[in-house]
Amino acid sequence: MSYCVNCGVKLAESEKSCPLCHCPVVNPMDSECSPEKLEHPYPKRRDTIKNIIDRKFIISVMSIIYLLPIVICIAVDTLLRGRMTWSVISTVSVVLCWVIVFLPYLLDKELAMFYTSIDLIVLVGLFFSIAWYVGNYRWVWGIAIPTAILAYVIINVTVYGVSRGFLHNLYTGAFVLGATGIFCVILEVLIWNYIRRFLDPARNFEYWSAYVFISCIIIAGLLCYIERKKTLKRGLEKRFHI
Amino acid sequence: MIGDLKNGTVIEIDDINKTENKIKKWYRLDNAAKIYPATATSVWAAVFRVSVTFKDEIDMEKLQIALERTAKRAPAIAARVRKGFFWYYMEPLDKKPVLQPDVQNPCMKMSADENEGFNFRVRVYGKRVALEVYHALADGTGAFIFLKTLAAEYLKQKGINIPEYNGILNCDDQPEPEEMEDGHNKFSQFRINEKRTDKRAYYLKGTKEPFDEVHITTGILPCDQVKKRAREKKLTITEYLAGIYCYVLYKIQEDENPRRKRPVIISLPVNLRPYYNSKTMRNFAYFINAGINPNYGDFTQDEIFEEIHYFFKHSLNEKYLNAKISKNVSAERNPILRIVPRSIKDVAMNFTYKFVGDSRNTSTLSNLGLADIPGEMNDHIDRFDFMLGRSRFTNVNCAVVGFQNKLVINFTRGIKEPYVERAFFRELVKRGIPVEIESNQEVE
Repeated sequence: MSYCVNCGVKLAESEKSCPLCHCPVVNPMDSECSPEKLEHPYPKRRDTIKNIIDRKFIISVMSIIYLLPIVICIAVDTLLRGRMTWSVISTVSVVLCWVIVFLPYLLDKELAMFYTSIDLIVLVGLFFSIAWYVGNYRWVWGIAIPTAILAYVIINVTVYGVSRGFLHNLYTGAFVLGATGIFCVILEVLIWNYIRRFLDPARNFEYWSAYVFISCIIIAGLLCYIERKKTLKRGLEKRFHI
Repeated sequence: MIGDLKNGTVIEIDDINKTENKIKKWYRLDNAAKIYPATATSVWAAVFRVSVTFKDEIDMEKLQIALERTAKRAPAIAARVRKGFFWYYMEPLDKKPVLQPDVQNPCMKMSADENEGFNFRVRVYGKRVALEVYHALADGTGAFIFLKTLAAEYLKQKGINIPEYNGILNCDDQPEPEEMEDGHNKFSQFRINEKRTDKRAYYLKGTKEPFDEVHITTGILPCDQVKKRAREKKLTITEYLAGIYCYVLYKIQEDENPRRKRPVIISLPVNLRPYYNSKTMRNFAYFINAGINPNYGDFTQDEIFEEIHYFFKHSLNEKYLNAKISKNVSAERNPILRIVPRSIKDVAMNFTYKFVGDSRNTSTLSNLGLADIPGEMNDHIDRFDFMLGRSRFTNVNCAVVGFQNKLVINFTRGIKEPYVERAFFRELVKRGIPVEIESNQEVE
């Protein structure tokens, strides 16, 4: 049995240093101790805990924070107008933000199509809430929904291409640029069509999307070319690496 | 079996119990328990441990039988905590718990699939049997009844006759509904709801360890000598140890010389059962915060002893304690709070726990007192241990239990530096009390 010279406490046989001050135990009689006496009070086996981020707690906190503007908007709107009017838009907007930010965080799985589908549904809900408030649904069907569906398709095709390996490195960027160019062209067609049908039948097509499309296609082509020329790509990487 | 000899009829006691003492399928969590699942994280939950060290090697088969019988007898512990929409609830399990080997880092969070879903575990190492319990199920006294019953049942399985008194349950009996009662709800009288007005306390600093790391330092003291020193100061053992602990923490803060001194507060759980003659095995304790405020000036050890002594005298009576628990129960009964979904309550309770609960004390000192067991068990038991798990915010906690002439003090630390227990045990040695130290530190 040893005593710590610093602390004055008696140390169990198993302690090779004082647990209080880490002063090593030097006992000339140590060798006479029988092995069974040296049994440590605790085994070496350890409990392990997976260090998982407490997502549910974070989501709960953030949801409460998100809930506050909804409650305030509904309360103010109902008090002032006697029913829900503009607060529907703010409510759906907050829900859309929540769905975009926290749904993937909560589920923690790579389900791009599922997330974007939910986003699309809530986004369409937002369009309809705005249309209901302003009393005009034509723009929803004419521009908003087709645009949203087009963006949904582009995002999912890109994700699918990347996950399947069809798109990689600079080809991904080239594809996204090309798709953006096409998106702009279709968007201009939709807008022009809407204006011509409902606002100004004499309105001409302005071709602004052509500038975007051509720029995107040139840069996309350049990216494809660089990706194909390995030496050029390596040279550019060397000069522009971050 | 009881018999009516005159009429020649014999009634099985078990049959009577089966009809009279039905154990429910689920229970509301008691008032004190509600905070524990709400504040649990993915890596931390409030778990504590009581253990018994036998004098002889353990027969694992007999201990397993004893565990199964004890678990059946004590549904308050043989249960799990589950999530409801508005509140958590407790569900006794009709399964067989399994013995587990002990570990170097005790009181870790239990996973849902561990030990058949029970929120307790029994671990064996050498001659020691340790019971780790999730605090949402029971407090130290409730868990200690389970451990004593398990130890008695194990000795019975070995052929030793152990009578059932001093908190030992008879495993042949059915569980009694009083053992499952929610003491807080039953005994709160709402004469006055006294608010807690504690200020933020001094926080023990240190290098935080990850949550799967815990440092245990055990001090074994001769009970008679501690009692003698306490008597010299006209104090109880709890008051004496709390006084020394408070003095040590006060000195640590003084050495740090901070710009703004904080009160040095020790949280002491008070067992409420004796005040209400309750037999519950669930949580029935109230934490009182004793300590000093160094901003009033310099304190001597004797002044701290006096502060603690008179605080105990003032606080520990039924009327004051009832006012405190009534406050907690009235909050739980608030109809608006009751209809708030559990996940929102969890967030609110987490903030309350961090900013109003744990920050109001520097450390916890929990004293289970002297272990009362039937005299027939004395020859077979070497010692009892009581250990708090790592706290989520406070870095060092302390638990005490005595048996025969061994007073065992376990420090649980979540920081690297052992400066608190070092100062505490050195102070005891300075006062002439011999201390034997052991720990869970790794030995190459």
